[in-house]
Amino acid sequence: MLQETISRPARLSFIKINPTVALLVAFALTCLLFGAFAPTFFSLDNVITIAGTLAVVGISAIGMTMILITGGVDLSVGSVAALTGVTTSLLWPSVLPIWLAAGVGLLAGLLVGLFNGLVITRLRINPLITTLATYSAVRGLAFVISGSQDNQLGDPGFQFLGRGNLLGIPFSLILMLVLYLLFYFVLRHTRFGRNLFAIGGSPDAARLAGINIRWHLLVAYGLCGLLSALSGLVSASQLAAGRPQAAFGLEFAVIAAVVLGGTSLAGGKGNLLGTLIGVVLLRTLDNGLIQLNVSSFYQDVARGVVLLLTVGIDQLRLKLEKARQK
Amino acid sequence: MIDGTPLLQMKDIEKSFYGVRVLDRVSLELQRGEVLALLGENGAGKSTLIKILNGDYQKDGGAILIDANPVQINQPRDAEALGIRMIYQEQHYAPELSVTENLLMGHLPSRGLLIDWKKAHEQAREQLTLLKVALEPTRLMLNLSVVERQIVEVVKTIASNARIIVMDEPTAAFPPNEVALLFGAIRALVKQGISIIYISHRLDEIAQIADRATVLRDGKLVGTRRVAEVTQRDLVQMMVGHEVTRGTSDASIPSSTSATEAALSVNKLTRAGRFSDIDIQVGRGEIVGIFGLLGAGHEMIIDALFGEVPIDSGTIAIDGSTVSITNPREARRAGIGLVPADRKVQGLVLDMNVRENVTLSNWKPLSRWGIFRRRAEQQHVQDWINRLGIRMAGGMATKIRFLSGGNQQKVVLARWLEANVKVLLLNEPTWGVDVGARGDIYKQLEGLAAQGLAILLVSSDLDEVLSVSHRMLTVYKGRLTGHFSRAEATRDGLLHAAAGGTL
Repeated sequence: MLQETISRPARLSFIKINPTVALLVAFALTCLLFGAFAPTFFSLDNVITIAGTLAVVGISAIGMTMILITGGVDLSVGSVAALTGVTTSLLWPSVLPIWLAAGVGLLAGLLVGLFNGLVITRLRINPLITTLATYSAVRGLAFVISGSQDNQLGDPGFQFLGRGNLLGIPFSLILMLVLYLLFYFVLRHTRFGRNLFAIGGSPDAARLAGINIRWHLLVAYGLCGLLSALSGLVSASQLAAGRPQAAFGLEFAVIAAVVLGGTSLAGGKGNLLGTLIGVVLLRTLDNGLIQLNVSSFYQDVARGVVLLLTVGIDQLRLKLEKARQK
Repeated sequence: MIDGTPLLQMKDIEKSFYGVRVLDRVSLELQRGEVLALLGENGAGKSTLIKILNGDYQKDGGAILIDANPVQINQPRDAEALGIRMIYQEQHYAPELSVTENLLMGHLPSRGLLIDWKKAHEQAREQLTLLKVALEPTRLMLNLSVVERQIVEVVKTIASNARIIVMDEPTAAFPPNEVALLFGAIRALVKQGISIIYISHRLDEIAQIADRATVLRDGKLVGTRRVAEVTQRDLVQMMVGHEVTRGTSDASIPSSTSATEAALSVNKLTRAGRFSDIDIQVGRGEIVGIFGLLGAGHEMIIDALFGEVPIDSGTIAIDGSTVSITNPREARRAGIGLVPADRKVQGLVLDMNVRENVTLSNWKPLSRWGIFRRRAEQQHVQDWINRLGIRMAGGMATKIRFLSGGNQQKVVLARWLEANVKVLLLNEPTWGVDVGARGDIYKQLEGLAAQGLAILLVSSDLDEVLSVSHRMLTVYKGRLTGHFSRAEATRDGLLHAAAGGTL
């Protein structure tokens, strides 16, 4: 063993670094860079601003992590978020009190997720196609039922969800972190979570082990819909309105964050801690670029570049790791 | 035939990875027109040696000579220029294209901008007949059998001026009884003066096709023998370094087989066009082996018992009560477990660790409200590791892909034992498992049977069926054609019945 350590070439040693640690290093470097050029970047105000923007992407990313682990994908998360906001805003205040209206909004998201799951498991249509269809149809539905109008959501209690602070910490962030803890536990320590990894890692082996694949996928897509709906509520609360074009492009931000965090698109691999760091990194990047007065189009470019870089480096790491194992 | 200067000499080859010596002064000689078997358990250094020959790895010491001239092989391209070709287990081909297109890929004859199909098929047919292969060149690759595809691969190789062809476990994915086709091609190659290095775990194949065998163990050369002058047992002993016993004495057979209650009772099981009227009884503590030749339908019977293949009629009973099994979940619930033939794809989740793979099917006693109880889980898994002798480098958190084939198979066994099954079905339980580990698995199966498990195994390996089963059945064209006790069973008898011979 000792001999092995000595003779291993130094240039290979970086591949031993845990990818999560590497991601944290990338995050620290990003912060230092912005801090150097944007004086307000490290101010408490700005840190709290960033913290307040994490939940919309972050909550939906929990569901997406589960879906990617099963080897699937869900492109409908942004549309679901918009539908939830719109539904809630249409029911309040004339039809239902705010929390019941929000409950119906969540239910709508859950139903879309279950619909995705049913189509994927029963009709055996590929998840990419299925959710591409709901991506389009659900967004359209949000425009149809709202008549393309924004509807106010001015309830002060409801606004606390997206804008309130608890002990100076954004409430949405606390909610998000609680959900991360909960689902971290679900993925690591429950039978359901472990079976998701088995299904994504080897569908044949999972089936022959007696795992009910359909049921697990249905629940996973349902949960992804529900969590995205919750993202939609947070977003609607921040906008103080149900807006049919809300959360536009959310699926990109969410998938990018999850993949940044080390979850494999091929299924069977992934972890929520990585996803959390991925979300923070991407939101910080957006914020830093705004601080530097970079145009929003360049922000899109920057996001794409960071995604490619991170995943590219990870691929390189895997390749070196494989080479090392002979 | 095997005289004069060797075509290839590898002398005192040394190779270390990160200070660990994997090849210690290994030498090998290959004569013109010879089939040399390269034998050794996994990790013996076979593939490293071959990769050095192909330029994938650089040797640390030693020399490679071709026609007695030293050569430098620094990269695969060098090996190719010297006429060295590799045929790997995994096949690389375009499934949607024809045999012709795969054979002539990159240099299809053309007329102007258009491909000259007539000429192309002609050329392909010529190449095929060179190896006496009767294969229609217009057929699509995806419609060929595994064996036929492998042969196309071989044909492709020789069309490119090969002098030395290395075949790494070429038959690993073959149904054992179609091997003859490949061997025909190999003999035709040898006649043309091409030399073959043949790597395989299957000793009966070595006996059939190889002239000499070079055996490696732990990175060292054990020796080279003429295959005609040694027995398979001798070769095994060279590979593992000690005597291997297969099977056990008759004493372990339960005394009153017919009298014990049948744990598994299959009655008139039928699937139209596949198998019909299958009656099988497996008593507690009994191992029943089903032997069939390729395409006999014997493997499908096991799949049907596990709910993977639907049945048209017939009944399955566990401990005397009839059960309905339409999917693997119901089979598990009924107390049936399956160890599939392709353990890497169907048996295990390679990205998960040993612990998670063992507890994949059994969770009730290990969890509360769906949450795993870590201590209980670890204790159960450790228990199986000890009882089955599962060996791995880093404890139960080791990813399953880093275990050897034999140990992986034991993990699949452990899963079903943990799930407390009454009946264990096994499909080709030792495919791709080292010779040394095979005996170990047989011993485990016998131990499990002795504890009351009913075991039904399907195999195309005659020796396997003979050595481990208490009773044997043969299948021919979807029907049971023979029934043997261990005392009655002979190789000839089983083969005769499995080939449709009348009793």
